[in-house]
Amino acid sequence: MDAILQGLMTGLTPVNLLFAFLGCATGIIFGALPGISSAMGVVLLLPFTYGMEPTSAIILLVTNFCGSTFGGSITSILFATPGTPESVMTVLDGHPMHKKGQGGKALGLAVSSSVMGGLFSALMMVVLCVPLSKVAMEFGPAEYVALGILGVTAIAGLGSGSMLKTLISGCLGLVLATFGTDEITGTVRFSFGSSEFVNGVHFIPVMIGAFALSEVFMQAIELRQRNNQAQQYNTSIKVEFMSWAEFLRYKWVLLKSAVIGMVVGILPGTGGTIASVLAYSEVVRSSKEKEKFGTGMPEGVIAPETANNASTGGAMVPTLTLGIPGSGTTAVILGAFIMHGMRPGPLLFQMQPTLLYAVFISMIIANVMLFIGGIYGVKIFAQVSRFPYYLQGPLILLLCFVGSYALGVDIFNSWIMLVAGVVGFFMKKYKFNVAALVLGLVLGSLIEENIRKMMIISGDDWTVFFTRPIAGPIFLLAAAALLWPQIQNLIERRKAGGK
Amino acid sequence: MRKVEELVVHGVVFLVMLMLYYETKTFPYANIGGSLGAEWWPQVILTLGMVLTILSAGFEARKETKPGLNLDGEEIKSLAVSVAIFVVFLVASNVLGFAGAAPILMAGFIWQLGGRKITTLIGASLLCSICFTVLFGRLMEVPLPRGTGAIRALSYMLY
Repeated sequence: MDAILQGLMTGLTPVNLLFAFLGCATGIIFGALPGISSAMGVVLLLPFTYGMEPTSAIILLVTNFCGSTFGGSITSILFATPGTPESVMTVLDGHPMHKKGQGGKALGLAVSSSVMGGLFSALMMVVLCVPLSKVAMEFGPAEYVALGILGVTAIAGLGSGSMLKTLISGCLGLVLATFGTDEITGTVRFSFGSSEFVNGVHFIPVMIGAFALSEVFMQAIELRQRNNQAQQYNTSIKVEFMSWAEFLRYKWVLLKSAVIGMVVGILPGTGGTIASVLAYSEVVRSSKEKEKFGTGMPEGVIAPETANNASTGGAMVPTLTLGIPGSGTTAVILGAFIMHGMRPGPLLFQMQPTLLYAVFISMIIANVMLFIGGIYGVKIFAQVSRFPYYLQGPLILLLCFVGSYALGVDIFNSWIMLVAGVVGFFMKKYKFNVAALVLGLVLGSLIEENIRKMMIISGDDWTVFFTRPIAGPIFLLAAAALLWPQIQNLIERRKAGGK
Repeated sequence: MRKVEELVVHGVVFLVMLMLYYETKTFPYANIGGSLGAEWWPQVILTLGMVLTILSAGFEARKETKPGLNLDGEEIKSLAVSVAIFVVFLVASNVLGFAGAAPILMAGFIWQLGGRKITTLIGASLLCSICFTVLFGRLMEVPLPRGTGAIRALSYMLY
């Protein structure tokens, strides 16, 4: 308790509050710019921390991480171009809300749920840091497969069109995830004789192409059909935060997404992107209006935004308590600890508990600051929405290009984005489901690699997936998620037949 | 016609999946990594995908459809022009670098999206390209294409 209080005092000193604010503000800007990921944002700030006191330096970097995780949602909602990988799922319902003239509401919900998710995980971390890190160590390949399968079950419920077309889109995403070097055998798959495919197909260019690029192509056609009279979106964007009534309506979505985000964040090798995908899947799965997702459902913004910010607190747990970074960003933060003469791990908790609690307290402060930063960040980017579409469209394309090219400093990713843009265009025209494609692409490698790892470990015994104490119940949940809607339909039909 | 269009699209999806399935047969055998080889998972997913595509095609064939087309000639022409502008930009960015190629993309799409004023076409293209180059290339140090030869050397002075 003393350490928590000392951490609180350290985190609340004026200097550390200033660094928390700076970290948060720069994070929002970095996050909103495609091409600058959370990890790159932290790297950009790293040189500024060389001469700083260690606690302030870590606070600056960690709050930057929190800010950038939210910042990506601004461009996701306004331009269908995710600023960071963590905000990919926000595009699905956030941009349609903007198109319906509810951009301010979508942004307000994104800020509110990001703050709540971040606060929840930071508060939980203060209390549960050590026991949670022990639970995370119990997660093996079977549990990762179970999580992935649970996420994939949501594909069946996505979108309002044909369920078969949605499932086909999901399969295409899962296949696309297998392109490139197989991490277990080293075999290069689907390279078609080109060395460019050796590293596989990254989901970011596919996502940007399928959503943003195809949208500009569509607009070009629609503008021509309307004789260049652009569809008027609500350009005077006023951020509308979540009201008390909305908080009560969406309390379970918020709680479930925050828990998913925090737990997934703790697991090494996952992070905010997987957390937001799983939270979105869960909200679709448990919704009574599955068919409306992708058309501008508030829950479709709340769930991924709560989860990705909740994952920031979670991701710090293995980094600080075990010295195992769960993602690229936390790996850079781990490097910053070492640079400042500290080695994260079990000993850090005994040697410098004040520092650790000061970091968590700063994350709480950073999340509160997101409210203020969010409003100003949104206002800056909302100015672009006032331009006529013939200026907005090319600007979106330039952002798309920067985002895809900077990913691997490789023009090949931009070609992938273009192909994805054309494929996305046809998918939208023929009512296939782009969201299902992306869901399959993000979760595909997680499922495949862990199935094969588990089969090697168990000596080809399939039953291990269902007999492990954590994996078994998750698989049951996935099966229930898939079968329950069918059973419900059957019951309703019988009831209707009886009447 | 819409029904034929749908069946053609399903046919294309099926053929792509079939081609990928045959590609899995060419994966070299590796005597490591357990009994499930590199081809196992793609084959499972592709088989499932092909079955679903056949089912969906059957469903579309029986469905009542409205007359007309999902995608007409004008729309295909517009898509082709948009793609062509982007292809020119991508090829040009390899040679002219980002600063040299961005005005092509800007001007091309301003025209394609209905901007017809010459001052807007030239002014906005140049201004936005400069802003993006300075913001991302110089201030944020985000890697951008540099082009080749003298343009490449010049780009190091800009970003």
